[in-house]
Amino acid sequence: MRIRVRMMGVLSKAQGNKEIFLELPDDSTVGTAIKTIISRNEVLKEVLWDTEVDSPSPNALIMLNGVEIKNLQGTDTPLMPDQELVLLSVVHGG
Amino acid sequence: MSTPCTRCNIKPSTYHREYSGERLCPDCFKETVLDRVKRTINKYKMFEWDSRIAIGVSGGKDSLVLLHLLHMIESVRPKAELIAVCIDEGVSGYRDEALRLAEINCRKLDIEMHTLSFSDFFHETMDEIAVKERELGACSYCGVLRRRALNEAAKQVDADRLATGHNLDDMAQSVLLNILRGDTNRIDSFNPGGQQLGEYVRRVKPLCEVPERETTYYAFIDNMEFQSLPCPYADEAMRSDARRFLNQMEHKRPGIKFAVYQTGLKIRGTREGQVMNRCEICGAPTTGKICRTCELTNS
Repeated sequence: MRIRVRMMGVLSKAQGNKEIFLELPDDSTVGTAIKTIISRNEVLKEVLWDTEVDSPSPNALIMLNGVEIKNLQGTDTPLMPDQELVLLSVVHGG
Repeated sequence: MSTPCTRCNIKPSTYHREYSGERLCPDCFKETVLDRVKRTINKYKMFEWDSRIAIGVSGGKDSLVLLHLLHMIESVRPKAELIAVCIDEGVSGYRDEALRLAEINCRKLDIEMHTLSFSDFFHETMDEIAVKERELGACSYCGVLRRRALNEAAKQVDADRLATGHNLDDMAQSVLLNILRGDTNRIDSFNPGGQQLGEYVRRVKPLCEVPERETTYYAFIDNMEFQSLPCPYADEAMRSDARRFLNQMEHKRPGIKFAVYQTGLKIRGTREGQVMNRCEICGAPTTGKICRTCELTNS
């Protein structure tokens, strides 16, 4: 399946693009998408992922179709084709 | 599919407030943030009905959210006035983008914007300070000089209040840092409602009880444009450690940031009415002989 990922604020600079499209296996979750993104970019990994607890960093705000993922099933939330994931850093540019 | 909003019970929720258990739709989320800011303003008696309020606008999400919220809150008080004050520290690239965002938002809300630059006021830009040999990190200089410049800008526009976008995370970090540094003066003077100190414009922090995640989410659902450049001089190692620690604690025990902030309020002294010294160089109120701004600009 294909999903759209929109990076906002400093993340768009780190990614080099305001949005990217990801091709993922059909049974993918939000966690799959985030891990795919951070595996390609060290700066994004630093901002988005807390390696100590192996989960999204508290400094990251992650929305799936406008809903913050903590209001869903967190990183276990299943993805559907054509959904939009928005990634935003809480810390920079305050 | 998300559960219904726990406040209106009608619209689907989009945000989970872990510390309170609420699940809110965008409209209720924004209303609860607005209500909390109004309560904070009343609790600390931050404004008078006819206050002329300078809002420190950096162009970042916190100050832009503050600008929008105060515009809503104060628009029902015909005698109250808002004016945005922006400081141009002289950081090439970074501040240009921020000032552009500040200008867009001020124009949208029809709020006058006044800019004061480090080069005009201190005759030096942050870019020039950053390349000098110095004892402290760039953030330490910038923080102190910016604070003074904001006060000067507020005075220039005849404001009687200076509102800044410090959020709950900033406040909790400050409490922790002041304890770790043993800075009893700052512990004593911890006060989001500010106080009148000589000719210093009273500084107030209306977002002091709004977590940073919530100012960010507010900016997101309000379709605000975000700054894309991090400050090139960001090097606050100790504050970053405090932020990381508090975030990890908040993750395990939601509500810990509020608890740390409340602790700051409980252990502070009451400095109201205390006579401050005058800086021997510039005359600004200070607890020592020379104020921090003069210490840094003369070192």
